[in-house]
Amino acid sequence: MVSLSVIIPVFNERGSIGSLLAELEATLDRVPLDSEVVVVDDGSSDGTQEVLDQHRLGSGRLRVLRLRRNFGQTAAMAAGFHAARGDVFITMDGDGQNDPTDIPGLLADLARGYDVVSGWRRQRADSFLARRLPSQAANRLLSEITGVRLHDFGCTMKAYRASFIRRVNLYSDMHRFIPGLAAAVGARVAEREVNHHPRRQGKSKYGLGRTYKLLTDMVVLRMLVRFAGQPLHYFGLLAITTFGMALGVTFLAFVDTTAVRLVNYTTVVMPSVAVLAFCLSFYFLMTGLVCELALRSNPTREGAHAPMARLEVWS
Amino acid sequence: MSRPVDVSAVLALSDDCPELEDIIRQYGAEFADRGFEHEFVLVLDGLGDQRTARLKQRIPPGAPVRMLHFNQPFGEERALACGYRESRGRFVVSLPGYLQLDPGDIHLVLDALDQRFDLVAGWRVPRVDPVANRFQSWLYNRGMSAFTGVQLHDLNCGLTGMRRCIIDEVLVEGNASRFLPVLAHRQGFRVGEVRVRHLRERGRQGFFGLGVYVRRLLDVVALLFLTRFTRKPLRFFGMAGGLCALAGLCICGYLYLDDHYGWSQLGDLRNRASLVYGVALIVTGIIIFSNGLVAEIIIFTNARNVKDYTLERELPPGLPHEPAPPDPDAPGEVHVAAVTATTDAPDGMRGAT
Repeated sequence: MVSLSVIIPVFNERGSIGSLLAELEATLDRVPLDSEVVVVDDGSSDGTQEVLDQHRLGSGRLRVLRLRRNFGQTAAMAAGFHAARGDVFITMDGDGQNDPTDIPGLLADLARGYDVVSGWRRQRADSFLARRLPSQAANRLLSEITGVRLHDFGCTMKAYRASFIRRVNLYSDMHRFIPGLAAAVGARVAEREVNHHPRRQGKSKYGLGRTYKLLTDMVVLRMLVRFAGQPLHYFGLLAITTFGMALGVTFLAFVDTTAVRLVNYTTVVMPSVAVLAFCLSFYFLMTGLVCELALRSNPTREGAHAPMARLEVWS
Repeated sequence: MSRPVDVSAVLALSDDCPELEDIIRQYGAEFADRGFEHEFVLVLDGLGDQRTARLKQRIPPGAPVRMLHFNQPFGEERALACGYRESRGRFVVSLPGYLQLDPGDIHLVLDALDQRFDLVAGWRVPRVDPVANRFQSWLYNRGMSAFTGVQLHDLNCGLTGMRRCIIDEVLVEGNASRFLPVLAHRQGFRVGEVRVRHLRERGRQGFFGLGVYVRRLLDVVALLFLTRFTRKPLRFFGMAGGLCALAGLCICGYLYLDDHYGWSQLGDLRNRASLVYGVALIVTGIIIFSNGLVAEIIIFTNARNVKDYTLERELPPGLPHEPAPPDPDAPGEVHVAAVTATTDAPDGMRGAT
């Protein structure tokens, strides 16, 4: 029975994956747990495959999954999660910027009762303007949205209790949001400082032009974290707000025409605004109902959004 | 599940198919030449009793044929998807419903499948239909290949060959049998193309009707959604709704300032019809946006059944693995349509930005 799975998505990391695996094996030898390493080769084309194969032959714990093409980091991670057999998962970057010696610390935090432990690259070895500043802004926003206060959502080095990660649906760019989504189903989330090395080899695979994606993702995340289990509440809130707006405008127009002349927009402007607000509020209400329908009619919904409780027995 | 065979030939038939006997005999002989155990899967797309009876008379006695009957016509695409699922072959080929191609060319397809490709599409060269049709097809195929990034010359060729894994892994959701080459390519399978001889064309002479264009346009829209936005609908709806609301805000803002400073001398706001347009645009924008949210909730709810990747293989620790498919060089006749190791964005924004 394996109890620790280290999951590493790699894409074209021929230069750095070898030394990372060597260090990782050395660390895992000292950890008193059965462990496996699951490397997910995300369609590399630079000879990473051969390096992995060499290591795999000499290792008792390295499993290699190869994807059919490059599907992106989230998909690669999901593949790793699906294949991993441990009770505890640790994810790492394949570029050698994460340090395997941080693993015992993360495990200690899990042993203390946390369900997700997120790494924090306090001393980040990246350029300030291109990477650190935008990432600080994003982390503030994400903390605000998810209600989970973390300094570094983007750090790949994280540890999870497997039972929680199995309940988080991973698709399209969601890996950054795992702590938030896990917290939404009831996980206790902690943070721990980890080392961060400058890149030894290869180029960083991120760019800066991701703002729009990130922004829409955050809107979605906010909705999902608070309301995925009860969408009617979300849209109902919007419906009530717009309905109140419509009532207010109507009332103003009424007062304005009958009693005092406050503004001179009454005859066309205010009624039309009120009518549209009415329409919008009913639309929101109906939308909320449709969402409930979509949610309730899904046979697999059990466990998808229901919070997970920790059982404590006093005997 | 019954006993598997080497190759299944799937035909979607929407009429009683006068040439069925020749098709089964000729292709059957070609399969037998290779020493392949084969079967024909005929999908009868709502033929009715009389035509079905006539069709059955055309099946040569003893031929390995299995038939699927639709009680009403559901169209070629769904008929093929149904036939693919029912087929049992290690390889599966779809055949056109009349002798449009040289049966001998089936070997090119099977060779390509044997060697390194997971899916092989036929490419009819030279075409024998009228110039007008050829031009339209050319335009359609060029457009689609530019749009999907898969360099195929003939998306509508009736001849497609594939390995079993394509049906198990690509066809699983939906009935998009028409776009299998594109979808297979996106999931990282090796997609190729072979030139086949085009003997003759039946029916439709001259320009296609308007309906064909509408259907193809809808195809494109469907494909856009299938390939780009199924996982992140808000990226699409957010863009559309945002632009709409922005236009509305601009109109309203201008009207407000105009009212305030009296630039255009048109009097106060109650005389301005464009105000209604402005507000309506904002409302429409909000509606589009929240539709995106609805879509996100639906995706998220169903996401546990979603797998965003396809696995080529899994290798356990310590064991040498059997070598990869041997021949990396494409044989002469096979034209490599798509290099599968390309690193395009996994769920790209290219359509929306």
